[in-house]
Amino acid sequence: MSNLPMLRKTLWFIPSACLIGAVLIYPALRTFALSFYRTDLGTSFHAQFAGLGNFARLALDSRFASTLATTVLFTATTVSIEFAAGLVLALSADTWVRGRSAVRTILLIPWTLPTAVIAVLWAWIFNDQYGILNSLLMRTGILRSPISWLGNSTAAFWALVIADAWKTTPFVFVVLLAGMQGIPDELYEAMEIDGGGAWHKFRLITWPFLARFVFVALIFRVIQAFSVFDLVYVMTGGGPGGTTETLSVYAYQTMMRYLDFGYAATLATAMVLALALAALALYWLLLRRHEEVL
Amino acid sequence: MSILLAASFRVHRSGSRSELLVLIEPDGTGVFREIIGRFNNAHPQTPVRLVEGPPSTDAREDMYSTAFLAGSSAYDVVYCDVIWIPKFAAAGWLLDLTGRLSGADANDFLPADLEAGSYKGRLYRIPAFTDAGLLYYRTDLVQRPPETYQDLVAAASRFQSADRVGYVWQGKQYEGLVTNYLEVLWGHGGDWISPDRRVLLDSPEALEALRFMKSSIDTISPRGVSTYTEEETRNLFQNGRSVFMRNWLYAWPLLNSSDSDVKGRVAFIPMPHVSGGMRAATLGGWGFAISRLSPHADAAWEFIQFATGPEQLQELYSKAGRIPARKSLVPDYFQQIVKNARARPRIPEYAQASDILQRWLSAALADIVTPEDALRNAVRETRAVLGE
Amino acid sequence: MRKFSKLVVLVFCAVAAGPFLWHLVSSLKDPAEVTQIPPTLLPTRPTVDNYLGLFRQRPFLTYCINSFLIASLSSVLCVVSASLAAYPLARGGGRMRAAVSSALLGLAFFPPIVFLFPVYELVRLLGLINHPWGLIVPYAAMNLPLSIWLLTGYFRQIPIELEEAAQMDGLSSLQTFSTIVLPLAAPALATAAVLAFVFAWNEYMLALTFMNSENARTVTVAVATLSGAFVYQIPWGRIAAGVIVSSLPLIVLAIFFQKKIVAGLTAGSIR
Repeated sequence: MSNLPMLRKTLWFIPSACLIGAVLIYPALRTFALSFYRTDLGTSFHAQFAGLGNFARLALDSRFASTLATTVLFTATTVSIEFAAGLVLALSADTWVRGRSAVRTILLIPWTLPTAVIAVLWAWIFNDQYGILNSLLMRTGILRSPISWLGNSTAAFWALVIADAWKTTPFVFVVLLAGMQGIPDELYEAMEIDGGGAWHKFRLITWPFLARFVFVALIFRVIQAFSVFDLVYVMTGGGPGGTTETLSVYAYQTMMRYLDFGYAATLATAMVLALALAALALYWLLLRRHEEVL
Repeated sequence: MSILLAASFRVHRSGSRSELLVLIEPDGTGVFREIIGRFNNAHPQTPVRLVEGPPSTDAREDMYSTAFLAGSSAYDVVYCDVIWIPKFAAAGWLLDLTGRLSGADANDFLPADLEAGSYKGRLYRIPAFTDAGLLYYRTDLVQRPPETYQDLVAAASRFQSADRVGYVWQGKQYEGLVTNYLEVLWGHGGDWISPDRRVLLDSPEALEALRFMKSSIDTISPRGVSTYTEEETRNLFQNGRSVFMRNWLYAWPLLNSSDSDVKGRVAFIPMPHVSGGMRAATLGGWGFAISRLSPHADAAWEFIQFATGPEQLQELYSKAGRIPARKSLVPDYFQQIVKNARARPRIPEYAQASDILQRWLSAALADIVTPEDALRNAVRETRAVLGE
Repeated sequence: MRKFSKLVVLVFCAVAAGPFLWHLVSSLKDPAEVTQIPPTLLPTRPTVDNYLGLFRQRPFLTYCINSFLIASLSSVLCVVSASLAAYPLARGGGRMRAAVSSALLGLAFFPPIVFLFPVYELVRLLGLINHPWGLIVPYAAMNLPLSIWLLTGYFRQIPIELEEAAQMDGLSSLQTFSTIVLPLAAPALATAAVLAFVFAWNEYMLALTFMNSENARTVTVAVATLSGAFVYQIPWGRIAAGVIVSSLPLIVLAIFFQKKIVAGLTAGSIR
């Protein structure tokens, strides 16, 4: 294979290159280009070059500011919770679950279900009239009167966080467990001989070994949480009063409802920039200090 | 594998349908189904099929938008809200119906509703039902109905009590809040967006109007109004727990139904005003348009003529309480209100402008920003959208 | 300590399975019982009416067929293209491999909303709105970066000697690939295919936007819009049944391919 002529080798890449080019690379470039144009009802959908006009509008757009804040808060909250829960679960399961695939399957199932369907599922659980949650809380005496979970901005935000954590904690768990199972037992044994406690074991062996897995899990989760669309769109529609609206939902509305394609492209471009910054920050925080592990 | 492949190319061929599709609100009373059933009996070649969409107006607007944007003729007849017309027409999605109405019909339909169904001088929507905002009051309490907003505040404070609030209106962050604000704004002599697309919310009248709404909370209106939509306010008023209520015409038959606590003790007047302003109602209502992509435009036009005919509209009024958009059918007691109804700005970017105004009005009512800042921000953002 | 760990795992299992089981139970209740306050834990009068209603009153079978077609064909298209690209990458020079891998990884940083509108324009241009292929191709492409990455890693573990021997015997590189390499890589191919299938079955944004006619919808979108379709009586029993129907194929997949899914999810971190 390695000594094939260059031309014949490129043939192998054609299907992938066509697909990726048409569905990912060309669209990304087009969106980037479109963010410098006005293309909306006012221009009869003709693209008019607007320079940095859309970005100037972005800087003064309070809805962008508030959806950005919601998105960042949602990302930070869900990823921290999923990470903490996934780590606790992985540490608990490390030696115990290895052979038990039934347990692993049960834990994995929420991750495989469609997010939009999960949104419907949780919306019913959080329903103020017929939801099981209010019913349980009232029967155990924690609540006196039903809470309208999705009608109150703080409660609706937490409802989204819970639904998201339910779906994606399994992903973090699976990745971290894989990381832990790659740590040689001899290291722990050596530490025990030296008299190290559980915390020392975690701090000096588990964590350094896990750093790369943590990084991968976090990066994927941050990207997904930051792009969240299905869950919010189906469960709260961004409400009440736009308080749970995320950037993807705002960009989608701008595109399909306001038909303001230029500005929607600008919003999407801003999301990519924000994500790139977040990824750099994560890399710097987590991996720079553990480079020797890589 | 090859079966799958074959199936993937086969399933989609449904282009030869002769049915006309129309997406409407959930048909709770079944009256739409009856009317369509009658039409279909008379027109077996091109029957109309009803698709019941979600109850949310925005959701149905989006369903129509995506279908049009895709260039597919998923819907032939468009059952549309007044505020959709500029967007749908500017995007080139609707068939121009100018000149199709007979002289008699053109004179019978309410002028404001025909006007609201037009864009840049061309008619796109035939009105079916009209609606307008008005002030309901309790005749057993209030002898002299208020003329001005000062009168309203005075009467509301005088007659409110421990188990009865003074005035309820719709303050939740949604389109209804905009219609409420517009009535107060017009009553103060201001306006939102001029026909030549200038944003006018930086006027003293706009600030006065917002200040009035805000000051009513905790004085004559309960704190909860900032979360109310039409039905919450109607329930309160209908249970005798409010002196005044701003609502639409649709509430009138319900307030006078047998299970209403205020039956026979309620009347309505146009919304108040201040000196220099005018009594104004926001125009609402629904009508029918035709998709420009529909291969059955002629059959669709037949259906629209049938559905907006006097007989059908009268039936919809008696069975579902929808006010016919025909002069000859509007009940006498509504004539005055309907005549005063004003359309919301007819700009293609309406949805965007309304969302901006809703957010800032709501923020001001909830004390998150001052009324001054709210309007200043709304003006700035709306101007950016309109490309001023 | 050991006992405590077990308890934690069991609690997580209960939390993972609980909401789903609750919907399974609700889907078997009649309308009166499903909205009963307080709710009953088990159906007192079990019924399958909700499922029957779903398939009779709405074209749910069509939705399921659409989803199945789209998910399987996009999965096949994705794995075929990915394995063709991954093979020369695995056997080629390290520098090219590194460059392509990081480029593919870079694509993962783009939120799907970035691609939505231009892809929509393309699909519309090709007349594939409301056509299964309008989703099959985009889904396959969106899964390619991960699949290529996964397969490249796996192909590299296959000893090259086998292929060298085959080429000595006069097999072309395509023949070597299809008769020697692919069978050996079957586990990785299955992993990639399962992940691509799950992705396509679950995708919502493109499906919502590209499939706007009633008969073209996927089951995921159909379930999400179910709640709005009947007013005055919120059909919670139907919705619960819809949740179960749309999730069942995935649960079956999770049960049979749990190891494959886990392998796929962790491929990113184990090089």
